[in-house]
Amino acid sequence: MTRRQAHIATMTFVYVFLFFMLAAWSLPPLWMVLTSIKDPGITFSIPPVWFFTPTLENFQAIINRPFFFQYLMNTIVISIITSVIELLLGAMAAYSLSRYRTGGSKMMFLLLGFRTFPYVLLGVPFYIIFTRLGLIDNIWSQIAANTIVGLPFTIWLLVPFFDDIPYELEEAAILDGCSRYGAMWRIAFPLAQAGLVVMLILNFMGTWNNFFFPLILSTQQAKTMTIVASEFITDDQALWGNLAAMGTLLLIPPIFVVFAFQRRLVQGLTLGGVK
Amino acid sequence: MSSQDQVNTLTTYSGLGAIEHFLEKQARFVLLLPAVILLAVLFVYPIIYTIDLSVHNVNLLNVARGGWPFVGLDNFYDALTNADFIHALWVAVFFGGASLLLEVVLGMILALTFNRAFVGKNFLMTICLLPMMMTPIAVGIFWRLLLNSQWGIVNYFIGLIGIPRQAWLGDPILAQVSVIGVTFWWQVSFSFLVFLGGLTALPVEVFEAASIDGASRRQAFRYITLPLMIPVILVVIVMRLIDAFRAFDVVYALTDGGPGNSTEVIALQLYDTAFRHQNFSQAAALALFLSVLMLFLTALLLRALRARYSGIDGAERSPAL
Repeated sequence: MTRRQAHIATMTFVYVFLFFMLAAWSLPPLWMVLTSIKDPGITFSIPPVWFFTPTLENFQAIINRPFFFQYLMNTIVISIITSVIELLLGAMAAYSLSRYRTGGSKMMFLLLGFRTFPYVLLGVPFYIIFTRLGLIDNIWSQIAANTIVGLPFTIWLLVPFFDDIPYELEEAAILDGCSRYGAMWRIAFPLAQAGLVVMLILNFMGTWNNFFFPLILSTQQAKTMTIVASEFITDDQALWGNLAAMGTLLLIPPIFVVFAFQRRLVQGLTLGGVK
Repeated sequence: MSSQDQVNTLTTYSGLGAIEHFLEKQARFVLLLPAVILLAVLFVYPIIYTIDLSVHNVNLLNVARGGWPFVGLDNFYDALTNADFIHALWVAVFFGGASLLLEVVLGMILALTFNRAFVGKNFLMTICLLPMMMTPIAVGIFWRLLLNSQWGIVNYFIGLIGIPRQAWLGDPILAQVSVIGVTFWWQVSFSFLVFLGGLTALPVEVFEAASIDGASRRQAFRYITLPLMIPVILVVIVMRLIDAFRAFDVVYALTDGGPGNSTEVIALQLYDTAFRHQNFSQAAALALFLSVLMLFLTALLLRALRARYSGIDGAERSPAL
């Protein structure tokens, strides 16, 4: 076998293998999306129907349920406020850690340690504390809980971005009469924009996807989309189309984010393992 | 001491100027303060609160009233001798371990496959990211649709090759297989991406030398790639083991611990104890026990990370570590 033939054989194997992986990863969610736009009459056809006239009946059904838009707004508001607070406090702390090396590498490891903390464990004290404060079923208790989950990791991930910005730029600004904070706000933050944007998106997604905190901290008013979706889970087949539509709605932001920001997300998801 | 500092020490400040001067001099702490306060209030305080709960008896009846009776270490004794808790711990470890084994093997194969240039690589990497980013509840939902014993498409496909219908989520053993399979499907890209990062960081010269010495590709993998990748593999193993104790959403949506308690993982058990049985003290004791376990695993992870970042390419350490 010549080199060229060997190369072709390898590449054929690579593409066949990747084709199967692609199918395995895309078909399960795709099936849900298809189920969500099927007419209820053909949802359960065996053999399954792959080509049909799509209908938005299922989406109309879930949108027409009481409080749908309130729950959607809850989710969006909680996600935005949480990710902005995390970004602001995280960037300030990361700037301090980067410029003054506060705590050194030990501090960085401590922050990374938070990444593995099982937040289910905070559920019990949060539930009781917020019950006694009367903050159950209030979006602020969920914002507080979600913020603390993402904050340490946000700091950890932003420090290297500030490390990459030469300090001389800020020094020049300070000599020209800028305060320390002005230099941070006008020079360091804009230059670290790439990292800040990724962190904002990751934190938004983390809160959007969160299920545990709304599960224990909301009862009616402050429910989020993941809770609504979980309430659709039933073995009553009549509601399958609705369940699929709800799951599809939940997946729209993550899918959009992945396609829009893929390369930048890899680093955040793999603990900086891939550059 | 720079000339700027000297000027500052010689000048006296009063009023607003003093505050401004203080803020300017202490910027490193002022900037950290909001994050530290938030962590103290929303992390340290709840942990102390949990310790307090765990040595009292707090349940549905007295949670709102206060004045909880002190019971010492009874909750810990009850939790650690509780058969359900031990069962849930093993289920979590077993699921985590089984899924991890599959993830490491397939993740490595994928990483080796991707460790070359080919058309469509970027697009395929994007697809790989998708499952990891998906809302866990939604992942549970569509697998629940797919695995349904009557109408699920998985049973349709295995029917085409002559295998009879299976009750994927109705049979205790098959439900365990399903949870492991779904976890694997959902998280395999994590090990793949970390492995790929490790592979691309390997020094090219070693492989060139080996191929000049006549090493086959298999030998190169066995004697060069694998030993060099061990720190990276360790990171993935510890990271995913920790995840096993945190698994909640997908199992909740897929089986909710059933049938019976065959898929009752530890996080679900904790949730049930606290919020379905309202036995808050017992749950607090469980939580503290798990925290200690996690602390131990996290220490392992940090050791593995240190090895990973100084072992592969000492010259180019990640700036973060």
